[in-house]
Amino acid sequence: MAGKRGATPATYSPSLTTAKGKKKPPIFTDDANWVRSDGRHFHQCRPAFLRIATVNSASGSAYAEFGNTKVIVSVFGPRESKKAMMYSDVGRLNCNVSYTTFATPSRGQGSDNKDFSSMLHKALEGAIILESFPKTTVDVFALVLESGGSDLPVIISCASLALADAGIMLYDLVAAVSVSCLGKNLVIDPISEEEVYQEGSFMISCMPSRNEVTQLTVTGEWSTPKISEAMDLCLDACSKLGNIMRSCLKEPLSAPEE
Amino acid sequence: MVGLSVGEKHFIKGGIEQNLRTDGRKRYTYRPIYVETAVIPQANGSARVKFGATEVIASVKAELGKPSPSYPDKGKVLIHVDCSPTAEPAFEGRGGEELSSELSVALQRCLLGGKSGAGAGIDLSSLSIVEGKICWDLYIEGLVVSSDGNLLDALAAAIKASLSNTALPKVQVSSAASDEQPEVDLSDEEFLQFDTCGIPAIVTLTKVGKHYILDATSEEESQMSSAVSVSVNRQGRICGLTKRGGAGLNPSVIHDMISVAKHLSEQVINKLDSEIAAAEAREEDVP
Amino acid sequence: MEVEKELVTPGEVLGLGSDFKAGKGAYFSPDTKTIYASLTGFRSIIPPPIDATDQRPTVEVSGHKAHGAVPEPGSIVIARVTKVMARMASADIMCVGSKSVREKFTGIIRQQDVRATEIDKVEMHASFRPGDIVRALVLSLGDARAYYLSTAKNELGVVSAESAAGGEMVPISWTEMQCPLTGQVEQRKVAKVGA
Repeated sequence: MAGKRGATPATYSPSLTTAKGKKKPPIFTDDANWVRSDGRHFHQCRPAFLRIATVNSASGSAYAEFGNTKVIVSVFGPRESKKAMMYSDVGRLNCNVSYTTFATPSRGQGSDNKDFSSMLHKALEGAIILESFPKTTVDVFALVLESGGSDLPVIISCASLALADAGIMLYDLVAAVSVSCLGKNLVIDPISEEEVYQEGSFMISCMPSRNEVTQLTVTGEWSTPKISEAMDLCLDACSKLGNIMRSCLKEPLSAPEE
Repeated sequence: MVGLSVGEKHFIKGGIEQNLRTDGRKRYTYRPIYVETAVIPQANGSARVKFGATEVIASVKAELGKPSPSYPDKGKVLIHVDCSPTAEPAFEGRGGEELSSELSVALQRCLLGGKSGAGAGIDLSSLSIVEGKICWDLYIEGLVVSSDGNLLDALAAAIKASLSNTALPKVQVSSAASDEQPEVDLSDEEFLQFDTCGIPAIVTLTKVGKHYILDATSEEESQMSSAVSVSVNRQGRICGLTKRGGAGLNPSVIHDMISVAKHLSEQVINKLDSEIAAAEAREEDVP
Repeated sequence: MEVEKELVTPGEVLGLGSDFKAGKGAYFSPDTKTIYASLTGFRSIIPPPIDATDQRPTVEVSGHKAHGAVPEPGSIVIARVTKVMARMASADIMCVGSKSVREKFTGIIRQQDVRATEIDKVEMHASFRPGDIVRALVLSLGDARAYYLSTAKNELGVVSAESAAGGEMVPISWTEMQCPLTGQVEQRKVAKVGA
């Protein structure tokens, strides 16, 4: 912050206070030379570790670890819907995302995670064949053990694995990836540090095999070519992530054969 | 919930297919837009916006507050939407809450930009008075009075109109001691007009069958497979995007929807601006 | 047509709609005219019956871990009676077919669904008691609260009941059961088991 202030003495900003508003650590400069703190390329995702059937008492569960982001998702049901619910011909999906108190550096939950439950619901509902379990409810509980950036995409991908593990009929798996816009650069799968300084974020969740987007959110200011670039980047990453997810699902079934 | 017979559903879908909707509009036509400003005397700014039978009220209340420690040079803006059960019985209880929070989040995303405030339609640094000490807190409340579809676009329009109607009293900072809380004096006569040129308009395209339509009524919304809301500012840049509805969309369709929304946004912003100007002119005529 | 042991996961393409019919664990997408898997498991192909008009083989996903059993109209369930009222009895469904459910589903047996004859003269308290284990047929998904069950068949009704004295009762007719400890006869809608 101090370096930035000294470097730009003559800006057209009306006051010093607004100039200081653009504070950035030296690494997040507009040129393409900075290195991401974990040494990745801009368009390189973090190594992903995925495991299914991690919780015994749940119908299905999955654990995902993308760098420091660690998420566990349990799926219960299909089970009887709550009494207060109206009759429905098709099944219901109920999603809940929670954070452990130690998930973030500052204790307590950030208010920006409040809408994750509904975002998860929206990302998944299009991929579930709800007609296959009429009147009943499938509960998806996600717990973020450690928040290390790109939490929501990891939750979505992990939840779709847990649903597949539970034997819920799906149209396709759901893979989700986000990119951050930092200066001129698009950075895929951002870590928390990068998310803080991002000027814009773009998250897509899609069904890789059907090539359909189930959920898409954009914040910040974007030009159309940049949106296209981000979308292509994400879709490519989603299809690769989809393949990793598929091999994770196949692992326990193919192992005893050999 | 809209109860429609098979015939009615077919009629709506068929009409959209042939570019002639049930109320005689084309696919990319808005319903008549009506804007009225300064409807709530207690608020710093307010507006009522009608899109056909959809009616929403937005109000802006400004209070002096303390900036958050992480962004000392910025003011705070809180957007909240209330869906009153008077608009529709389905809004009572949980149903209304869910919709309220969905709309609030979508508006926040479109108007306030990312976490760091980048790409925000409302310039948060303009709300700062004394860095780290005092800033304006804007409380933007939206109220759905009558619901007939396309609530998000109407709310965004109402917020824009209410902000352009907002006058913040001029603040005199008297004490300049660095570590004390400075004393402030609010002027009763001098007011600062809020700059709204950066505020984007939200254009929601509702996909029914193979086509997408603008400004859908609730009957048409009940037939949608998914909807994409794009917020576009005057420079034609996209400031936010949300998708509703569970059905998946092909990426090429999304590309197309974005470009259509961008194309339409220009005319929407112009239309809205002229309506706001007309409303403010009307207001001044009243003694 | 022995293409066995090919592992698939949800969303993977199983074949074209023109070549196959979608079976269990698979679905047909009319937009792309393609059959996709909806579960994880092995792709298997079942040849069509000889006399079928549609000569496409069925492609399905087998060997998967299915989700927990869910009652469906037409399935036979085992339920425990929890409450007997004048016009209906409520019961918790414990098994669907041969599979036990992880968590109970609520069902109700209405007065008119207890037996096939003289349905207007059914006395609920002379048909079931709380704690009885009944075999029933799921009539419909019912309302928001419960599935509608029926015992209006010979093989449906109470299969196991305990007497007031705590003995396992023995059926003596289709309407009566007897306690082996006290010899007392209690009334039930008894299922004909094992015939």
